[in-house]
Amino acid sequence: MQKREVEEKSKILNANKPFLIFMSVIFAVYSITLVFPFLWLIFNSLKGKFEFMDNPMAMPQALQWKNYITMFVEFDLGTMFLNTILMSTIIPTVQLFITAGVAYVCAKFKSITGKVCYFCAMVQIYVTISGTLPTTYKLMADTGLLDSLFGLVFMGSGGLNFSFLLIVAIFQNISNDYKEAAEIDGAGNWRIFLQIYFPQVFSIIMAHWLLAFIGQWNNYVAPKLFWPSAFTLATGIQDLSNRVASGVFAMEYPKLFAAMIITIIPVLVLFIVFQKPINKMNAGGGIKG
Amino acid sequence: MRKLNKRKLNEKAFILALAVYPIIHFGIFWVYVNSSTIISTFMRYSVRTNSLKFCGFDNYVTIFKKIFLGGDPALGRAFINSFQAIGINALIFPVALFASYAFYKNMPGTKVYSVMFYIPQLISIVVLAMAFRYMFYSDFGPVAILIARIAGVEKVDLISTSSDYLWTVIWLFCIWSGLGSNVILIRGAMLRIPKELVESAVLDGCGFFRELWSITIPMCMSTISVYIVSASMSATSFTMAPMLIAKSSGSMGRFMTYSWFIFENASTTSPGTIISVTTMGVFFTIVNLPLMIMARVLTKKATPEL
Amino acid sequence: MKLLKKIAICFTAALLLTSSAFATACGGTSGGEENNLRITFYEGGFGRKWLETLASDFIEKKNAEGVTIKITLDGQGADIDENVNTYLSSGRNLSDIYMVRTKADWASDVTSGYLANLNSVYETEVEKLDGSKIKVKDFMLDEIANMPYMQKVPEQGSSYPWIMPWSVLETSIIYNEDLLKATVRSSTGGKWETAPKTMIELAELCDDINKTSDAKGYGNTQPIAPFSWSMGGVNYFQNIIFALWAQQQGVESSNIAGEGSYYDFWNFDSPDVWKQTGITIAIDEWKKIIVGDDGNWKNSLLSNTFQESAYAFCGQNAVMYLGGSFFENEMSGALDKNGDGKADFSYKMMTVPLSENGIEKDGHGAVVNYCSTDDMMFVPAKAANVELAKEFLAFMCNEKYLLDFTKETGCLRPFKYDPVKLTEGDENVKWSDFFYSCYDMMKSDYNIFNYPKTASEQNKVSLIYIYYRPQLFQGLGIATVCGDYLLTKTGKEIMTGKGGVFSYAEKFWNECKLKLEY
Repeated sequence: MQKREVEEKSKILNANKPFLIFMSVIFAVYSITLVFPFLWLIFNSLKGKFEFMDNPMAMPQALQWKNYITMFVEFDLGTMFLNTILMSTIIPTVQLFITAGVAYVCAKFKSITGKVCYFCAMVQIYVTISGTLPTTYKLMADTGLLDSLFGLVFMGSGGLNFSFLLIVAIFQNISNDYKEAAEIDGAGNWRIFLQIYFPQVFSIIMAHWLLAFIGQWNNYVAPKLFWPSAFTLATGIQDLSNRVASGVFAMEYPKLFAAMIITIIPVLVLFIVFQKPINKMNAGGGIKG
Repeated sequence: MRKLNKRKLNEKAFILALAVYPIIHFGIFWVYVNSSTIISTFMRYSVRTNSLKFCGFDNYVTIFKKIFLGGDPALGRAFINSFQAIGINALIFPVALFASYAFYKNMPGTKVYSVMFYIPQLISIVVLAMAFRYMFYSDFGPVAILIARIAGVEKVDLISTSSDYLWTVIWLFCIWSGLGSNVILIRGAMLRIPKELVESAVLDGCGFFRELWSITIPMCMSTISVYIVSASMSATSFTMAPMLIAKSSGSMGRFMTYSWFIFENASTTSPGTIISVTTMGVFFTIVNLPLMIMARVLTKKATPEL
Repeated sequence: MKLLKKIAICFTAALLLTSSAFATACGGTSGGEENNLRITFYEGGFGRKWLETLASDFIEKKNAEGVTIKITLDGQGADIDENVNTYLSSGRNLSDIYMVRTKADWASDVTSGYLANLNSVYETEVEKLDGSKIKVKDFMLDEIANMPYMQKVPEQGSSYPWIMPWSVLETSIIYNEDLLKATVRSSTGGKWETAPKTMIELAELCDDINKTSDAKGYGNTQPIAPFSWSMGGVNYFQNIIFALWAQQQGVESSNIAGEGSYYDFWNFDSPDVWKQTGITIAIDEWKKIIVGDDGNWKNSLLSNTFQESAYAFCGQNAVMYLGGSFFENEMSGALDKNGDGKADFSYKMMTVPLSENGIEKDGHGAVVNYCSTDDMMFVPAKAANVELAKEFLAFMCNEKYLLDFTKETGCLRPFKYDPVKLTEGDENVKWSDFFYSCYDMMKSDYNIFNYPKTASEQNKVSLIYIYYRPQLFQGLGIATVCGDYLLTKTGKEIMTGKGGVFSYAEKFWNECKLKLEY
């Protein structure tokens, strides 16, 4: 009875309905501003070039679905998709496997190597110097890794990052009894890692993988600088947006809008399917980009 | 004994197998890259001999003169513009805080909004910026057309590089695209506050906003301090928003930022340009360092020990 | 929901496997294939048809010689200008020929060994349509014949050519002839019949356009402005200023005592070149046209982007537009909206009107035509098919293909050929009025480029020009001078006033001198 009274009281005292309703209205407006631009892009992507320029606010007269097909045929959107898929799947996979491995070593073995790794991770996260891009670029050029997927994967596969710190903590929370029992049974280190400990953190790693996948899917800077010969969706769309300024693609805004809509569909689908694990990560912060 | 030695050897091999690569990677991409960057700032490129020569602090003196003594107005402007990122973060923070609190208190529509707020995180910043920018195009942007109608003029110029409103549009974009993720971040921290603490506070007569000030904020301080520290560093990475919204740096570097300048000149074949850019980057890091240290110290002090 | 998740997981896994397979297969090339000539080019503006014809003819020629080759045409957007640095630095995915809009630091690339020596190209004899032969280097326009040449190491060894200029682009004022002829001329009471010849006439025309528009004399429902332009295309102000400046300063020899000529400026022998009086006069003359007494833009319909300002002109919302000889090809869709094969209105390009008290030639005011030749072609030194690429570049210089380029794009290549004379009597070739106007412009008293022609003839091109190519508004940049500053300052204040161009140019010049170890 008392608990219910407290709950009721907390609901009443800390509800502040006018404030919450006010914020709800603000959020409704904000949500509309998030969705409206893409709805506008969709209905204008179904127009012809001059139809759009003459009347951008009107509904399309005849639905030009061919704009979507044209983007795949004329502008090789298919190749951009492939390049993006390659980058978004390979880099997080390699990176997270390496991260999990080195995190396991740091968490479960008392060795100087583990301490060195931890120190390197802290230094890398907290000590950042601007202006290293040209040096990195030159390094990749001198080693022959510039303008290759392998080079991108190599750059992104470090393992000593923020995910490393999180996964170390998780491994530390898993009992050492498993390891001891497995050792008694004659299991080797690799077997213990891959068959006992790794499965226990798999769901966390999958959540990190999903976020890393989305991050790589939307990555602009790395492919632009280090893999420019292969257009990804982000760099390709940016190139298309420059092409509408002049030349053969001048003013082809509806086609550009079609390309933009095509690029966001896969990540939206992925988010809808894997919403819960992504929500758990609560990543983000600061200004986007 | 032999078995023990073999086991220890296997263990060492296993540790090395998993740890060597990340350490080497760190050695290359942090140690080598950073030290090479710093060393290059003390060199000058000689066109005649196609080689680098040591020149002491000359590059730093040149950059200092360019930025602070009017030697290059575009660079000076880029320097100041970069710190706008901190201002934008300072603006986002209170809004995000109140918004998160409203979420935390289960305002109407929480479930729907928590999905909507993820949209900017999911979509590439390139597509996001383009979609946002087209809203403000004077010829066909819905926002520009609406403003023109309200103002009773034929066209309004909001996003050309001569527009007085372009920085406002950039700020709006940063807030529009960054608010959602910050709300989710802070709300996540709020959800981890023990319910019993809140209940006992309520019993003691704690009101809605008092709870926010005395309980919620202190309990979320570790998350908030991460936000503040990353905000203090944001000037060094304020690239994409101005670059994608302004598209061009404008007259006298009106919209240029430091990191944009570095990005634009990163892929150069000219050794002289590499040195200029790396010097600028290191110089900017040094100038920004006190701010970062201060943010870390202050947030550490403000975080209560639990 | 669970089933959906399982499907999604399986799909993701399948994607991963396929991707890994592709990754192994698509390892990335370290350059091209032998006998597969890969040409990466900026496709905007000129399109690709002219290159396709060239490529198939070259393949035929090589087949006749018993050599089987392939040609891959890789059309790119504007990013190619930046991305090419990556290809040159890495040596990966290197094409055999690059055709880019601009590459200001090509001299650095020569010194670093990235570009192939094109001497054999320039020494090749090509065929003219009358059957005679001429070396490529002698066939090039005299004004820029020496531009591709430099020593690989500064002041050491012989000078060789390293690049090939792509096109000659005239830039000036394009006008809607129909609207011009509908404009009432206040001074005569009749209508304007031809484009203005002097800057005074241009000012008069602008006033008359405003009056005619206000009186709905065009049958217009919306106002029609004299000029359509955008801050995205403000560099076109500079092109007008170049021509006016050259008229004041003297093109090859100086017209102003104690100062060098227009061409002397570009050699940057001293920072004092930025004090040339002709520049300040030119800025003020142009300012009178485009800036009102209230310090705001006048006579202008402003758009966000260069292309939108072109569209506004094509929509007949302005009588004049600041553009170039590539305009017709680039805006063909907007010029013929109903798609009936005929332009919606008559349009031509005029030479920059005569500056007041400018230089004279043959007893009349000297007409100066500013041409840009920043776009270029080059062969990477590490390309897979260097010799084949050079052969192709030489092949492109046969007069037949120069003419084909002009027929297809409406623009000229920088060679001494006359497309109108070469197609006289050919019923299949009908040059447009716009093209004829551009063609006539090339017969101006002077065709000027931003290149130190005079110094090059004496083999005295300065290292500062070669390696650093300073700009006219060095330090301030075009957008400042042709934007904010033009609204509030005079030409003299812009160039030599406090915080003016000269102050930055002088510092830059001294920096360059230090780097070049003068």
